[in-house]
Amino acid sequence: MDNWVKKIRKRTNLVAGTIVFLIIVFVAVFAPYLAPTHPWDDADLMISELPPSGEYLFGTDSKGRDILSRVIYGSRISLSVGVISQLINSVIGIVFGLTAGYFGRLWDDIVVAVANIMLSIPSLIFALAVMALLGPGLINVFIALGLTNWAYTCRITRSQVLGTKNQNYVKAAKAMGFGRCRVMFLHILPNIFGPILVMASLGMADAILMEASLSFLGLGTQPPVPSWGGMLAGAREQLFTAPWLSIFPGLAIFITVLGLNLLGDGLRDLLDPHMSETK
Amino acid sequence: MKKKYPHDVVSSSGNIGSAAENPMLSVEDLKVYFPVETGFLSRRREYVYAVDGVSFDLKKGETLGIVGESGCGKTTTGMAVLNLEQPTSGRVVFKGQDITDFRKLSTETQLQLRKEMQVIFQDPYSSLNPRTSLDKILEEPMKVHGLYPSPGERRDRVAYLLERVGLTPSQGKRYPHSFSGGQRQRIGIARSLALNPSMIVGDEPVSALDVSIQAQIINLLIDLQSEFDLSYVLIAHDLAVVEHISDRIAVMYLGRIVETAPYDRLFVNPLHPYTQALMSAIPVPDPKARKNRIVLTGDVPSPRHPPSGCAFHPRCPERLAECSESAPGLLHKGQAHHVACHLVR
Repeated sequence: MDNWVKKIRKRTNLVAGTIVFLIIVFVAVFAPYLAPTHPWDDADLMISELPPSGEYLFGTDSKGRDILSRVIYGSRISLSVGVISQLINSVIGIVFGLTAGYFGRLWDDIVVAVANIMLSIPSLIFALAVMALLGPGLINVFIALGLTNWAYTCRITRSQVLGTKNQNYVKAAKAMGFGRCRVMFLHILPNIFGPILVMASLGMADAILMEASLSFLGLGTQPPVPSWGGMLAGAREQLFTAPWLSIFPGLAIFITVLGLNLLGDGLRDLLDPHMSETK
Repeated sequence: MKKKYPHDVVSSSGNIGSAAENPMLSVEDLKVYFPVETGFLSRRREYVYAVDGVSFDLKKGETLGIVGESGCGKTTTGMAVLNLEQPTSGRVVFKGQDITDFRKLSTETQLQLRKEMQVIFQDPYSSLNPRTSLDKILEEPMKVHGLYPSPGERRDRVAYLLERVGLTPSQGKRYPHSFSGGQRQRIGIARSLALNPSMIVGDEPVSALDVSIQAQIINLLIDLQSEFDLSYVLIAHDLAVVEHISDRIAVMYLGRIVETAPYDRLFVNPLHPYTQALMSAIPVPDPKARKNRIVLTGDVPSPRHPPSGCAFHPRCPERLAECSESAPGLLHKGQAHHVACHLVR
């Protein structure tokens, strides 16, 4: 146990990333209690575009809404997009990667070909195309981003399976007559979960950025629900006259994505056996 | 340290002779080739002739030792018997049932066969799932096969198995990484016993262990054989390891069996030059003993391009002209002693 404490202490990345992530989760969960005003109902044109002050810490936007409240509520969108779309990504990637690596042959060729095609399409363009098909809206953002980035998880999973499926404990499981699904999901998957987890935390950061981009382009979350990307889009014209409109949502994106990347890096260092051998 | 000698095994495992007509396992002309693609632009398909025509029988309660250098196909033979490798040709018959085309058998038959045949691996570190506790490792096969349906029965059985291989039931909550190599090998043995199999293939079950622990594990295997009524196929590269447990020994070289005999015949009167060379390499615990060591020159040829005729002829100290031309067949020299060599007629 002491060993673990020591290990974690040395990982500043992991600690910083975890703290940032936990703060975002906390803010998203308790948004109604933390936000001083309602993010869109409390609009008052009399107080539009006020600079940051003691009363409005982050200032107000062109419709007189408190930016702090909107940034706090925006975390809910970003976090749910990150978690849900990455969950979809991971499930798709794990299922295809596991089966491709385990069964090999034609199925492997097909999955690898499709994954390579997916990787060669710019992901924002692909997500845009899916959004154009489905129409704007938060649920559709989940689906579009969920379908976009699974190829990374798929490839990582597949390569890990290739290394693991010849381990003797997998052979022993086959020799005992365990079914394919049992071998794949109960014997191989738990042993390759580390790299998949790392991919998932990095993928979450990616998804949050993509959602911001989609909202910026007007295809993501629809107003008046605040999302960080949407807030940036609305603040574009006041970039020079009222910079706080874009600075605070931009900072929120930056800190969240940085935190998730640190978390992913830290997890990689922690879970990678090659790194942990060298003390 | 008390070592048990095979005489005990023979007497404890009953009357071997009467079972001769109906072997538990019969392997006929087994071949396993692995395709390899070579060439950068033009793909040429070549084969690794890992196992190239191996035949043997295993009687109920018998222990067959398969020895040979690394790369001679002994492990592949074991894996093909267990259907963890698909045979290219030949026949594997287990308890009177042809199991060569394992995947074409019905699911129930496959499960039944899996239950009957188990495996112990060489490397005790990679053979246990690192994310599974001991209890789970032993319980899972029982659950899958519906043995010992009630949780209480299963717990009792797990406790019994752990005790039987020299561990304590209280260790069942722990994970494989907290055990030593010898303990892990015991866990592997316990796992192979969980389904009450009738045959166990041991793929170099003691090669990765210290010599002192080797003896313990071999004695454990001997004890378990009589208690669980097991037949063993034990694969080893070390004659000294199999001599203490085998009833019969088969010597393999480059995908073929070159000599097979009851262990006492083989040790007293090895006929094949390769067997003689192996015998002379066994260390003798007497510094004054002068031994005639036969040191083979060269390496094992690549199984991709096996030599013509007898595969051993490039390294054979007594080769004849015909050795490079025709491959000798297995000749019966009496008392279950078979040898494939042109020198022996």
